[in-house]
Amino acid sequence: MKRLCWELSPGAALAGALLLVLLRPEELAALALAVLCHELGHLAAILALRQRLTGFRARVGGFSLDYAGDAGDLGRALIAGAGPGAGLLYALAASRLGVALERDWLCLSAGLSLLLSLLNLLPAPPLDGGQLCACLARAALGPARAEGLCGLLSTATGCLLLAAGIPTLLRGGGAALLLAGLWLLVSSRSAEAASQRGSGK
Amino acid sequence: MRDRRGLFWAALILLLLWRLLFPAAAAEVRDWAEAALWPRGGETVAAWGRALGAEEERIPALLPGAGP
Repeated sequence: MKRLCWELSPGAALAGALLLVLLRPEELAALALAVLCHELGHLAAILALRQRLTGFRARVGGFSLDYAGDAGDLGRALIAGAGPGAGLLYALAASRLGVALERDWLCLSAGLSLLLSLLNLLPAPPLDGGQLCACLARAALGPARAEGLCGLLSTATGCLLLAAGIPTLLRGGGAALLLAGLWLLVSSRSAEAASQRGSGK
Repeated sequence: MRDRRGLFWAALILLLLWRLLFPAAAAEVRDWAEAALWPRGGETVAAWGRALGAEEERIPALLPGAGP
């Protein structure tokens, strides 16, 4: 049996340290549980589709599970969507339990899982939604048209977040949406450039 | 590349030490960051979580800044 490849980028370690500074211990635990459920969703789909898990990577943009096998576009779409799906299920369960037991911590974890899942469903390359979109588009339209469509969707998503983020910031709602939009646009451009380099354009 | 990695790890260790040795300053930075990124974000997210489990509660607006 081949060993799993584990990768922890220095940026991811630094981002983790920043979270340790910025979040209270109970907030960190709530977030960690939400992330764990999300990743377990991906893992369950990988194993259910009889793919071989080859590695685990932690980068600034998040975690990813590497796998090998012949899942096909629809299989890969299922694996990509399983994470947000598991996160939404966890959010529902945790919220009901939190309300029933009057535990604010569980409600916070449910809310974080809901936010994480919905954000991850956005159609942009670094997110699960981007992979889901790419796999479904490839299956339906073929590789060339799928790449164009997904590039357009990811740019539109980043621009929409920017457009929502600017008035939110001006109204005193904080810079989170604006920064999310900027990050998505930059990541989309990087992914597009990497794809073009790979295809020799 | 090796030098840059060393810088990252050094920054990480310094950040964690600072967090341990100066908890009051870390709390101030936390409050400032919350105000800058998403005021009352923790309360808003917790309210979403409660709303999922209790249908009778009013669901707050999804954008940051609106609050519960």
